[in-house]
Parts: sequence; structure tokens; C-alpha cells
Amino acid sequence: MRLIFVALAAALLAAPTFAQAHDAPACAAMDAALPERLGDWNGKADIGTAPSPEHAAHASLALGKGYAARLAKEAEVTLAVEPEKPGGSVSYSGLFTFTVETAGDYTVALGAAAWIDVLEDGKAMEPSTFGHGPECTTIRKMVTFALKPGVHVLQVAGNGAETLRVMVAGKS
Amino acid sequence: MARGLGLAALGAATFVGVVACASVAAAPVGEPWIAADAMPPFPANNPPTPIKIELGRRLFYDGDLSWDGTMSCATCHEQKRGFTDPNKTREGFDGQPGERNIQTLANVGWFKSLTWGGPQVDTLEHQALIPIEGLVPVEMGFAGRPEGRLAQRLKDQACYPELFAAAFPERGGKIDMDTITLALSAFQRSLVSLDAPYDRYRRGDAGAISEQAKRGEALFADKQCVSCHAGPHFTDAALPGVKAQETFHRLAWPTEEGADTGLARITQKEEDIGKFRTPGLRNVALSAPYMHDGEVATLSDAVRHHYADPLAGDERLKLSVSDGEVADLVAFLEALTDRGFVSNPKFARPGPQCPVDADAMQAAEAENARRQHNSAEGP
Repeated sequence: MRLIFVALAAALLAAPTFAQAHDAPACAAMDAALPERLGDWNGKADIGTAPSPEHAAHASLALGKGYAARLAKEAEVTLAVEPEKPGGSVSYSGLFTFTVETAGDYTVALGAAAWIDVLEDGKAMEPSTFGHGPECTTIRKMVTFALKPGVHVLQVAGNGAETLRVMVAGKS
Repeated sequence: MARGLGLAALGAATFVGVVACASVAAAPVGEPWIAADAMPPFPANNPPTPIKIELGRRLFYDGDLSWDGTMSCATCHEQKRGFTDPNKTREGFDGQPGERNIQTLANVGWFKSLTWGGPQVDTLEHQALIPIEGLVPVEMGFAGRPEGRLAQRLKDQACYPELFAAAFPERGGKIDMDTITLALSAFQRSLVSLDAPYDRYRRGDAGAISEQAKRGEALFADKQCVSCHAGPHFTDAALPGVKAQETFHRLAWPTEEGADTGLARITQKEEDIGKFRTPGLRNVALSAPYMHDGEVATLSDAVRHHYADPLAGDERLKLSVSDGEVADLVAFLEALTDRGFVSNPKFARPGPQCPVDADAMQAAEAENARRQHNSAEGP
């Protein structure tokens, strides 16, 4: 038994340094089994950010549609509210709108870990849930809000790239 | 490796690691407690002037300290959570897997060992480089990038050159990794949390904590918590006279292939497998999840976790705790929450305006000169 222990100790000492590496699921293919409401995640429709809140209506996202949104350098966008975790001067921001017809839960899915705010009546909403996207998908982050009917502003801050995969989906 | 096999093998081990915690416990009730205005020591080359602390605060909250601008120090160290993070571990700037749970920065200026697994990281100036330039794990992403890129990014902004000039007149306001980490460290040494209800209780306000918390305080000693979570910062890592390597202890043997071996990763010694540095407990009620891997979700379960592994090898961890005792201990730990600390605007993200003016620069230089004459060990 002593030998078994020594072998285990040796294995532990030689183990890879990333303790969580073995937790990552082995995915045969990414985005092969997206939830129905996120089915158009890979649509990658083109849309550019509005430069300021007053122009946000010109950057309107359709619910259930996947976008590859073009953002702008942080300094080139006038944000609607101060984000809790803004990015640095080299990061990218964006302003968009989406329209809710029926009150309920709506989820913003992102391909990166940018900070987002959803504004209702000009105020940033507290999310009801947030977390990673489903396993074996390219969705990195999902944030859900309970929203009233109306036009809502989606503000993106602190993204590391000019393009951000984004989608707003109802609960379905 | 299956957990069962691991446990069986470990149970047959002929050597048993013993948690060698410090024998110095928290000062008994009635003894003088740490002063509310105490400040940690500082190294001779980094006296904490107000303008340097302000510069460090700006850097701490600036996403430009990560390669793609997405992560600041504050991304993982949130003030409202006692400068910790609600995730088990935190991904790096580009989604690289995190490795260990984010630790509090409260009173970190007193700590002599600054990471979960590395006793060699014994100064804040050294530690600051790890998230910025480290590879294990990748956090802010400057490892392998062109040298000087971060400094250039700061030089290109209007405020930073003025701030560095005011904070480091003896270095001609130079912006480089040395001055960046010196300023970050000065800010972190200012993160002092010494006004929790338990502090007030220890300073004579008998009604500052509940009767349940008082029972929890007694249990904290009886159940041997205090032998590692010792002293006014509730970790032996901040006790005088204790060597850094003596503050690493094992609660449980790692049993799965690929498990984090803690201190043994550095020392490559079998007896160090599974040892991690004692974390401080100030504001612990705000810092879930718990343990080095963030695998314990609640404070109650974190208490139970300490007594969960009969193979841990330390007689003190073979004590049992009832549900009532756990509740009392949690009440005590909740009394370590310093609400003023987690809402203090001095520690919050600064506004966009540049704080440097001629008066501030003069004051900074005068302060610098005054402190040069002070002891390197601080007030």
C-alpha cells in the first residue's frame, strides 16, 4: 500500500498546474446542440453600435437573432450609465436597443465576458441571474433580466475586441 | 483516479501530514486589541504617500492593466465583497480557466505570505506582477507581450504622467513596471479593515456583537480555529515571528488526478501536498465561495469542511461540530464584517477627473520628504 501512496504522491506532484483543466467538458463539436431560443446564435448578423444613447434606436436588435456587433473604442462612445466594471482605454463599447412586447425574463447572450447593462426607463436593471453559457457552446456569458414591455437600451462596456457576438432572447 | 481508490491509498499512508499551525492565538478577551487606526508596515523603498496611494487606486481600477483592456484588479477584487469575487475561480482576460479562489485584500499589508500556494511571494510589490504578467494561470495577459506596452499605454493618457510625477519625484515620474507595482502596493496597504463589530466588542463595547456571536467566539478557540486563524487578522500569515512556510496547512488530502497540490507545487515535497496558506477571515461572510478552489458555497459548509476529512492528520481537525455550534461560529464570523470598509469611498473606483494639481504635487513632495526620515518599518 505504501507503494500505492508513493505513486499517487508522485502523480500529484507531476500533475498539470491547472486544477480545473479536468473539469472542462470534452465537446465533440461546439454549438451543435444550442437551446431552441438561442438557435440563431450563429446567425452573426451585422450591426454597428450607436455613438450615444440618443442614437441608440438606430442600432436595434431583433429578439432571437444572433449578431456580430461592431463596437467602438471606449472613448468614442458616450455611455448611458457608468458601468460597474468599465474597460480600459483600449477596450470597446457599444449601445443598442431592443423592444420587449411582453413582460418577462429576457436573456442577453454574449460571446465574450464584456460588462453589460440593460436600461429600463433610463436606469440600469439588476439582473435576475447571470453565469456562463451552456456547455459546448461559444456563448461565454448569459445575463437574464425581468423586463417590462417597451424599448430597452443594451449597453456593452469593456469588450476586448471590436466585434462581439450578441443575442437577446426571450424565455420561449 | 477514482476518489475511492485515492482515499484507500491515502489511508494506508505511512506518513501522516500534521497541520503545524502557529501556537500564537488571538489575544484573549480583555487583552488590548489592535488599534482602530493601526496601519501596516511598509518597505523602505515604498513609503505610502497620499498621492501614491491615489495613483495606486486609479491603477487598481483601470482595465488598461490587462492586455485587451477588459480586466482591472477590481474585476476580481470587488470592494462590496471585501475585495473578493463571487465565482469559484476567475477566468483570465481571454477566458483562460482560473485556478484558485480570489482572496480578500483586507489588511493584506500585514501579510507575510500573499498567495494560496507560494511562500516565496512575500511582498505586495512582487505579488502585483503575478496577475499582470503571470502564466499560471493567465489572468491579465501581459506575459510574453512586448515589454513596455503597459507603461506606454499609461504614458499616452493625460492624467497618468502627472500622477506618476507627483507620486515618484525621486524617480523623475518614471512610468514602468516598478513604479506601477509600487503604487498598486501602496494602495493595497491602505486597505485596512479594523472596525467590524467584533473589533468594537474587543475594544470595550459589550453590546457590539450578539450573544450567539459571543458563543461562537468561545467555540472559535475551543474548536481550534484560532490556532491557524490567529491574531487580529485571523491568519497566522500576519503574525509576527511566524515564517511564511509555517502558515501553510492541510485540511484534506487531494485525492483526484490533476488536483491542486498547493505548497508542494513549489517545494516538490510529498509532505507539502495539499497545504495552502491560512486565509484571513475579515469580511469572510461577504466572500463566498470558500476554500482555495471555491468549492464550498456557504460559510456554514466552510466551517464543517474543516472537520470533514478524518485523514487530514491533525488531531484538532478530528473534533466534531454540531449544527448549533456551526450556527454560533457563523454568527461570530459574521461579526467580522466591517461595513465601513466595504463602503468606504476612499477605496472605491475613483471618478474620471485627474486629482493632480500644483498643491497636490507640492504636498506629495513634502510628504515624501517627511517619510524618507521615518522608519522603514512604518508607524
